Amino acid sequence: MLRIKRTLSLWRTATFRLAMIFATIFGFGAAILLIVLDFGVARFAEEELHDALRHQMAIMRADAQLEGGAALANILAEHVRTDSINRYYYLVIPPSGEVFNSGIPEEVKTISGFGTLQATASDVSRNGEISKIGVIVLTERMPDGTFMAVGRESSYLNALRSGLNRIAIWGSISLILLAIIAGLFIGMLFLRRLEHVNSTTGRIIEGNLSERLPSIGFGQEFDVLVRNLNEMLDRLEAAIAGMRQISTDFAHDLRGALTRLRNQLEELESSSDTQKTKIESAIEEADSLLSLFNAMLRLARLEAGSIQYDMITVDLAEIIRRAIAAYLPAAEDGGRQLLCNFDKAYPIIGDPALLSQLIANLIDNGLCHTPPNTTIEIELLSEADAVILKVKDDGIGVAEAEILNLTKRFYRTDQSRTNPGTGLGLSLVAAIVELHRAEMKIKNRYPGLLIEITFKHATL
Amino acid sequence: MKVLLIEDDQKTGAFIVRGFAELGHSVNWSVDGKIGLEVALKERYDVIIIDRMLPGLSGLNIIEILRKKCITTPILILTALSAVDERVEGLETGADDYLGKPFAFSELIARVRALYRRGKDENVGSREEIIIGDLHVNLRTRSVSRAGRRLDLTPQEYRLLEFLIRRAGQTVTRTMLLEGLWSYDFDTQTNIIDAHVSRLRSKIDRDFKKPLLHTLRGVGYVLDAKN
Repeated sequence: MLRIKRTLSLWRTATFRLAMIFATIFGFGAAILLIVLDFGVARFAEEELHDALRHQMAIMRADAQLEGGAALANILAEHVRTDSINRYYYLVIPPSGEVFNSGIPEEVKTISGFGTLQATASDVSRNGEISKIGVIVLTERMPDGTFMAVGRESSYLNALRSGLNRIAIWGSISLILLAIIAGLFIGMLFLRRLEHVNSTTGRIIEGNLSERLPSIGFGQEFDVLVRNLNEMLDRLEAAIAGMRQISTDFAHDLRGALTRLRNQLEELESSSDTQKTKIESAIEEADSLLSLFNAMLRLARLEAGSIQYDMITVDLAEIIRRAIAAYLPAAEDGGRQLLCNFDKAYPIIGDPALLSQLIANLIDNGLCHTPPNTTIEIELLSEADAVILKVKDDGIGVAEAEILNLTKRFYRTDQSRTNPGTGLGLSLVAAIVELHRAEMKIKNRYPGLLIEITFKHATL
Repeated sequence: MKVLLIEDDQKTGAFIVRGFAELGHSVNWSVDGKIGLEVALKERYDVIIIDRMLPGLSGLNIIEILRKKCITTPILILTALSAVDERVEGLETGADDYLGKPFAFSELIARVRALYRRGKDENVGSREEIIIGDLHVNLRTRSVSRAGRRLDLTPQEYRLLEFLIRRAGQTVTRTMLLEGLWSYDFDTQTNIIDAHVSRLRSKIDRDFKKPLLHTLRGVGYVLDAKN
């Protein structure tokens, strides 16, 4: 017994791997986004700080120009003393007079423009405790020689930075984790649904052809896939049932013909003189057997696609006219009328030999399965993008329930069972129609039958 | 009639040799392509029958070489490769006829005889009038008369008559007629040839004492002044 592996490991499923890949990409993306954001925010805060220092410096410069460096030192000293929530540190060294310094060390003199250094500050809120703090400073030297510096604590900037970094790291980690968990979850969900499909497939492999795959859910594409697979199973099941029927029918037909042949040969053997008519009828019997095999082979080759064919532009009207010319005397001898009524060309893309065979089979069919005095009419219609071939007769028609079976191999309607023929004519027509990607419809027209084949139009 | 058969299948070969011998024809049989070609180049034959798939040298190659050496002996290809395009390929290579396996012996002998005759009276094609008994067929004006009486034939009937009269005295099988007159090869359940022949017969034979168009049951037809 065929064993198939039906259990799948989650870690090795495509879904899970896909989820992992997505998690990685997603996590990296998120991390980069956070880092960029972090950097941007820090830069923005630093710019803000610089702006504030520039603003302070502008005020100091204006004062120094207006009243001189010494005066500025006094003003600032006054300002620092009265303003309890002053966040700036100042240093003013006028060319003469008193130096004002609210906490910036002397080494600031080596800095030109923006810079950072450590300042000592007595924190008012912490009872004048002296502490070292990071400061960003901006320095400027006035034309009269006054050196000015303004600074501001940068520690909150660092706090902001490290806070943002934490958010970036934890954010990235949790995003990646989330993606992995989601991937695992979806993978498991998917696996469980596939498990059903797999177990059903197993049962089908073991021979239970009527089983159908359950819906996977999840989305249209999976439903379409399952629907297509089920449709395929429908066709396979029908084909296998058909094959069984065909083998039975074929064996039946063959046995009948071979028995007749054997009886004729036996009769010949027992009769003293060779009777020519008996030999001839045995040959005829053998010929009809041969034509049955020929038709089967032709059909099998056609369906297997092993027949070479040339799809070229052909005039269907010309093929029909030629066939009618060949068949007309035989039709008239059988008391039937064979009509066609078209004078222009009806170009389609097709194989001339196969199309001739198709027309021949349709005419054979009409001549074989209708009573005398039947009119068989072949019509061609041209539509925008199609050429429609209609073969209609006013014979006895076919029972509605049997119409669908007409193209099955060896199928014979109750009325036609005694008529000559291989029982393969319309199967061959159906195969040729399929090869030309045309469509065939068979309808009752009360009285008679209509076979309608729609070919795609070819432009000459 | 002297026939060369190049065929590697023992059963088919023996069957053909025996059949031709019974009819009084001599057959040289070669089972190898290369040897077959040597024999064909050395001796003159009336008809050559060649299988397509052969050990040594393929049937089509043999034909190509023979035709290049200006050997015009009529050639019939006998093969299992009998699809329409394979047939066309065979005939384009220089073969004169093509018969698919499996075949009926009557079909093979009829075709070989037709080739033999064609090889002998090559002037048939250029003749203006063919006369069989008291039946006159003018190939140029397409007029037909029997015993001095003008017969009106439809174009289809005329084509059939011309096909038969060009092979007068020889058996013409139904398949030869189907191929020759309707160029496409299709299987049919209807006796379309018989109906055409009976039309033609009603015009050229019915009002006359001696029938010219004879049916060989199970095989085909022959147009002949002799009985």
